[in-house]
Amino acid sequence: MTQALLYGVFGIALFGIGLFGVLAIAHVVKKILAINICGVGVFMVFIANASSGAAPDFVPHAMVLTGIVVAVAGTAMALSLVVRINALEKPEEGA
Amino acid sequence: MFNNMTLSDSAQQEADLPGSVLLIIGMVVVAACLFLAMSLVQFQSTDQPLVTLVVSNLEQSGVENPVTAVLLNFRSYDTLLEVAVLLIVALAVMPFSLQDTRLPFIKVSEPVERSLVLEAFLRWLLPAIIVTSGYLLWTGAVLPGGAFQAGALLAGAGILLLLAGHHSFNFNAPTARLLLVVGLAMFLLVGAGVVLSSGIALAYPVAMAGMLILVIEVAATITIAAVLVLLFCALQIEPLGPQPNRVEKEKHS
Amino acid sequence: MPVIDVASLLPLLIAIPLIGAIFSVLLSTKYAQVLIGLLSALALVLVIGLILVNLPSVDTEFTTPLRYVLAGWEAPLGIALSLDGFSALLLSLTVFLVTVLTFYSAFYFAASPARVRFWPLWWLLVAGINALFLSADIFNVYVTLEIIGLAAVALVALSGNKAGLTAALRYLLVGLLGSLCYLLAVALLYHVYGTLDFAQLAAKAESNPLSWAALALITVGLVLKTALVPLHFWLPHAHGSAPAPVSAILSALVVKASFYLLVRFWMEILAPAVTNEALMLLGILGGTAILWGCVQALRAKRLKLMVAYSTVAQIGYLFLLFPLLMSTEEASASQLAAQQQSALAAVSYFIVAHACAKAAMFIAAGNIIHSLGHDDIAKLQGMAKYMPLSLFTFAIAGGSLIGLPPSAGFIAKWLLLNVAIDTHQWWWVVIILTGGLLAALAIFRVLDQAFIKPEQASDHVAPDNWQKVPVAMPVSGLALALCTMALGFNADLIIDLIAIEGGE
Repeated sequence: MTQALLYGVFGIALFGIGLFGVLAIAHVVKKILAINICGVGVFMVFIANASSGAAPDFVPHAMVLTGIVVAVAGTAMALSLVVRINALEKPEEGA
Repeated sequence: MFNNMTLSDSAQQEADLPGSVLLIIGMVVVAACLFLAMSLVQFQSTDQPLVTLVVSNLEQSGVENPVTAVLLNFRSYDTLLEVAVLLIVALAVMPFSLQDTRLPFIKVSEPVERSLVLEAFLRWLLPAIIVTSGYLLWTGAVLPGGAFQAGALLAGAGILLLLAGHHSFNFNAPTARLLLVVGLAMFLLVGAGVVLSSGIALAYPVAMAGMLILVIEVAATITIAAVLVLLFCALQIEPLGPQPNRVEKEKHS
Repeated sequence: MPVIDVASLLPLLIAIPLIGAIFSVLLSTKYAQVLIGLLSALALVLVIGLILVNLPSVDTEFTTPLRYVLAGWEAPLGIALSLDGFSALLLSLTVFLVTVLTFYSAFYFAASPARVRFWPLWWLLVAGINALFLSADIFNVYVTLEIIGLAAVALVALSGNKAGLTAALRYLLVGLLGSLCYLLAVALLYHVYGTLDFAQLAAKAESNPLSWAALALITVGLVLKTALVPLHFWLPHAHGSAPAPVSAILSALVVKASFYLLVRFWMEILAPAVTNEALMLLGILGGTAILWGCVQALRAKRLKLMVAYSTVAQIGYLFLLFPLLMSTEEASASQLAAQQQSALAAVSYFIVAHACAKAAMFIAAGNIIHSLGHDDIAKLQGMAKYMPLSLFTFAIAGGSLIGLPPSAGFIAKWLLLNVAIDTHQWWWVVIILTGGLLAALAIFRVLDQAFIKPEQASDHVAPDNWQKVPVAMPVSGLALALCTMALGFNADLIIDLIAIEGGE
């Protein structure tokens, strides 16, 4: 088993851990974190594949960079929705 | 699983699923991952045609860093859409109001209490960050670096400025909206403009490729920095920041 | 030879909405945004019209899909756009619906401050949908999926109330998870085949464990986004609490976008990895979705929720495509191809019929909410005399969803039934007919309240806070509903379009 393959397998494991978190945990912020862990797992599979050959493959690098930006965007959007929902909930709790 | 999400701050997380369901989910996830891992291990990687393709076409891409070449030349369309993704998120989180459109982008307020150390430090740090960001942008053509890294650093400068407490950003101002779209607009403009010379959208003429990529990257850096600062404002300042502070200040005065 | 190079028009379908979005961010006054919207819609109509006119017809020898290589780098290094009959149909449908809904939104958001954000997000969503239908690169598809997902969530969140925001958050999390499953599959496919291009993958793909794994991940991810039972839980609330034009485009196009991808992967790109058992499983889920969606629609108390559950059922019909693709031992390759072609034609027809009818229904429901301030089905008694146009639209569109004769829905079901009988899968006939019956019950429950039951004079059912809607709003809904009728009379148009480049 090469080093790259090991990284790939652990990337899948990370994906699984994240997936379990998304499905099992009810707390929204933790769900968002779990989705990010999922994402990191997927990126690791990409990177592991990129380095499995003799020369590094740059296309997966670029794809991961794009993927990171998209993940940042999605996370920010989810968090902003959480913040807005919380802001709507607060007055009710106070009343 | 998604139907009873809790949004509580941290105190109550009891809405979790019962143990038996957790066990089933866990087993399904483990089984799926094992299958994925097994199929990955069994498969022997063959050739990677893109490795040689990227290297052999690098000279015509206008940059020397292969990752930048892929991002901004070979697969520039992906990056174009990625800038659109950033614009979507910016619009989604923007605290918008119709009144604010007349106000300027950056509002400087007279500080209530001054911290000399902080101000002096920022005076040194902010220009340094901006220069470093420019360097990262420039070096992206040869070494790891590029628009996103530079934009993230620039956004850091913006956030520092914000946290120092004298400045606030109004993203409904016309300037701010221009900053948010300039990356996408420049990308489209260049992508469409090159049709005149090469006949194909996004296909830069080899001689000008480096310059055009830099133009796109400068615009993208500005947009990325603006979007990231906006995200920070939307997530941090609005719900937590000003209100308690303001109350405190009123008490003082 | 066509007069112009049709392929060079393809990038315009993505560039026009992006330009529209940029300008509606910069010029945020009300009339500027509406003007930009109408101009962008007009430009899109012109471009798609030019493409359709110049598209090679079935009779000619030319049967390869249109292809436009972006940035001048041929795949696998670069990204290409491609257009065949199936995607041309979906693009035309998109442009048509977007035009009508843009017109409708101009009135719907006329007085709402949400318009400042609505218009740019709307055009970004349209750009994402067009980009997805044109894309020929599996990673590029991931980016377009994210554009669609994030823009759709932002649009759902425009409603601003807690129910809407919670629905948006759930929709977002589900969408992100679905995209990540898809992305992992992209990683695996790239690892195995070293290319991201649809056609090159299709040529290289073979049946091995990694292909199966990739297909399974893609299917889970996209089924989650398409909201097939049992992964439909997010849809009713997201579609039910969004503003009307947003609900309309979500039900009519956004779920279809991920379904389109599923069809691409199962019929073309990873066809060698597909097994009959897997096709059957998707079919069974589809059948369950039809029954479950209809039952839930019957039980729904709010009009929009009912319409959203009806979408769940209609998605079930789409998935009946998959068991009809099954190969049998006695059928030859050409027979199988013909069978798959007619199944795809039936389902494409279904997509178009459902999109028009569902958009019309959401517009009608939106008008009712606009007028009454609520969409409680029990309180619609006798409302037909106050808003005849909207409820008439609802009735016609409902007729198409049930599958009553001259409508497009009828033709779609007829085609589907034909294929089911040809392939000796009679049990789908029973499910399709039962689904139609249940849908009829749900629709007539509303119509009965609105048209037949007398208005209750005693309580405040009479609309005291009655607001008249601009006549353009019900008219645009009615236009869509009448389209479903017109399509019922002109079935050949669509079937011919699908026949171009038979998905092989």
